[in-house]
Amino acid sequence: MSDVVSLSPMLGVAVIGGTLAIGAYGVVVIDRLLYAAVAGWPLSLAWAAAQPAREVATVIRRQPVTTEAPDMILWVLAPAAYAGLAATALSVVPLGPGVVVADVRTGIVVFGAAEALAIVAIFLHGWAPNSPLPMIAGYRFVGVALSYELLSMFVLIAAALPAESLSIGAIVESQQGLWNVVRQPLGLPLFLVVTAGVTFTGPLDIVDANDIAGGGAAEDSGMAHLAWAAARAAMLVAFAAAAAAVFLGGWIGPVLPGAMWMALKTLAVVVTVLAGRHLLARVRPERFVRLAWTVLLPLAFLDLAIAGAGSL
Amino acid sequence: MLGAFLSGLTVTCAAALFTAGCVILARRSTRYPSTAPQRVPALGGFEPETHAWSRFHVRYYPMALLFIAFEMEMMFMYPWAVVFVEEGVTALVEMGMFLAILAVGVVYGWREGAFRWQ
Amino acid sequence: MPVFAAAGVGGWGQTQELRGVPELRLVTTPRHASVLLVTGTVPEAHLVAVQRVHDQVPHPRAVVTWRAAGTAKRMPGATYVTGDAAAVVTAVQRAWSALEADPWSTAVDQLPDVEPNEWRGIGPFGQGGEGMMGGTPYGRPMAMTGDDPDGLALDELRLTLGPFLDALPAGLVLDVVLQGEVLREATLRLDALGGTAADATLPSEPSSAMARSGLRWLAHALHVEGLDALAARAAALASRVTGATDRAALSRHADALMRRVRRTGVLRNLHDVGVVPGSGDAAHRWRERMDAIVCALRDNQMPDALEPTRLDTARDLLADALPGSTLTAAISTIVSLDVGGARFGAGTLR
Repeated sequence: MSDVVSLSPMLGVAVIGGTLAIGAYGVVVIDRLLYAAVAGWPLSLAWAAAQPAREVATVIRRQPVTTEAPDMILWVLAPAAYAGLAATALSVVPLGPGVVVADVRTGIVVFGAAEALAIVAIFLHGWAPNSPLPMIAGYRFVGVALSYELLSMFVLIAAALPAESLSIGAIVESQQGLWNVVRQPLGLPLFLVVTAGVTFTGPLDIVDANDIAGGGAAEDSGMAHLAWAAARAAMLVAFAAAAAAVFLGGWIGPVLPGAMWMALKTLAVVVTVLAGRHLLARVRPERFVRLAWTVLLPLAFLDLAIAGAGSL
Repeated sequence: MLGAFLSGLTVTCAAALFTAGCVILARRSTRYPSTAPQRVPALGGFEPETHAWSRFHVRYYPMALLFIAFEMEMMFMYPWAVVFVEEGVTALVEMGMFLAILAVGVVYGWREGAFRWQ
Repeated sequence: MPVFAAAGVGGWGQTQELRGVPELRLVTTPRHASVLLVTGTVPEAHLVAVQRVHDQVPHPRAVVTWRAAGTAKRMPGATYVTGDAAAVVTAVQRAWSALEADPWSTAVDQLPDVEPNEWRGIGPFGQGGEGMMGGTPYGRPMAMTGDDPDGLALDELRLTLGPFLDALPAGLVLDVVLQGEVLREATLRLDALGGTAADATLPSEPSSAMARSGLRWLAHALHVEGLDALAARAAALASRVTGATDRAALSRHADALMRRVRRTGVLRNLHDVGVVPGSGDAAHRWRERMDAIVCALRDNQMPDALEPTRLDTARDLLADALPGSTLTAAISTIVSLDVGGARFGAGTLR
């Protein structure tokens, strides 16, 4: 990794903060557009872009309600930790040719650690308000999280095999000839399952689900709710960027500059995940646990075997 | 390398502090303190009899144990992934055997109903 | 605009149709809302519940009541609307703009600011209790244990869900005892709904009304299963049924919607959930209802499958079916039975 441009910490904060903020807003706008498309409403980019801004303006002035005897420290820390972990995850992903905020050699280990700690943040967010429905949501989420967590480890390690490195930059470089999405066809679908899980989107919206009145976020209001929603959108941006880098060849592509390719591929992953949100029903937690261990985990084994055989 | 970790840490802390700061500021500066009826957990109108916090009986203990077995094994897979191409078929066979043994655990857990919740 | 809808008797069905209106966003909890929308008549026994929900909407808040003649008097400062859905949108928009202009113009609390239990100053730290057991630490007792079928003594959460829980069909109040996330007991409260006499006098409806109430059920059920965008489509379809001139076009739309719903995997997900003697599992009931909606629109038929489950029947069915299932499955089961849909959903408000 000789030609890597490592950004200074301050520049890194600006780059990651900007990417996450713009990305998160983009996620909301895309979500509204897809919602309108599936609902059969007239599509209007102006409406989709303006509506969230207007809601944000009122939500920050709304009263943040507390509950009876909540764990206030954890209630504040949960969205903070979740947003922080989104930043961690994005910091090890190269955003352009050799441009990475934290160029650690063990990129996927750091990424995996952020993903595992996100489970803790999500659980504590449900636990903190001392309210039944959020707490139940938190506990049932952990069961699901322990099931999808393994998949991500397997597919990321499988992607590291041909690169002979745990650095995500090196994994992108190793896809010069052929992208991992072709070389290891099971990797991306399994990683999308993990993405849906960590950002509790669509079929894996186990924690902030409609059947228990918004679950983990049921007691959040005002800024507390906005922070949680924004952190969730930021996490989706980080995971989509990682999926683009690890499976879709990152910055590799003709004509356009590398960073542009990266942005386009990230966008494609975001659209895929959010389309799943509107077109797939939420899966029951116990059903997903069974599915993850008996179907998806063997598929992850197979993915590793394909990657191993392919890179020899 | 250390500098890279420092960058990552800085970015993480900045994002976390910013988020926490926004929430704390909003909670401190609100003009409306929460009243007792507002603080009641939202269940659709009526009150719960007790606090929510309790010894919550999750139904996935065996699955969680199985998870730990796999998660430990991941630690070995990271260095294995780096030297995989060098070591060649030996590495593939070794990891195959390792995973096969763990897979027996999954099959046993499945038979015992570890993935059922009720 | 984030709106929390609290539906009283007769208001639930029309509330579901609001899911098809792009300007409104029906949220799942009062905490996320700016505007509280009260529809229909709230029974006397649920009055304190609607007042608590009102207080749980964070400041600054506004209240709009829709054809809720009896309740409107109890909601000081509420905007009273009698027109159709468009009138509601206008009223909500106006209320929201007023809040944006002047955040101090909030609807004042309705319940007194009184702790549920005396606890301050009791116990060595003023936390409300002494020793391991007893007392009301921080205002409420801690959970006590109860036996479970495996012979363990597990903590029990005793909750009353509803009547304004977004996932439950309107007005239903469910008393549950939870151990972990598994239900030990579940009792449907019928007292406030006028008991079982209420649905003995159901008028027989024309096929269009049946299709409409079926689509309203579908909109809510899709929402509960996490498919809000498709719920919006079902709701928009429901609002077009009455007085529609081109029924063939409607049934084509309905057909396309049902195909889309089948592809979401929701039926596979509900397989073996909520098995009830005589009507199979939840997936079976969904399938029957979806077919029946299309049938009612296309052939002007009045299929039995669209009959909502009678309240007294539902109480007995649920008392048998729910214990032992998870809360997730229990909610899906109740939704699939369309409990109380007749009393709350059918017809239009007067």
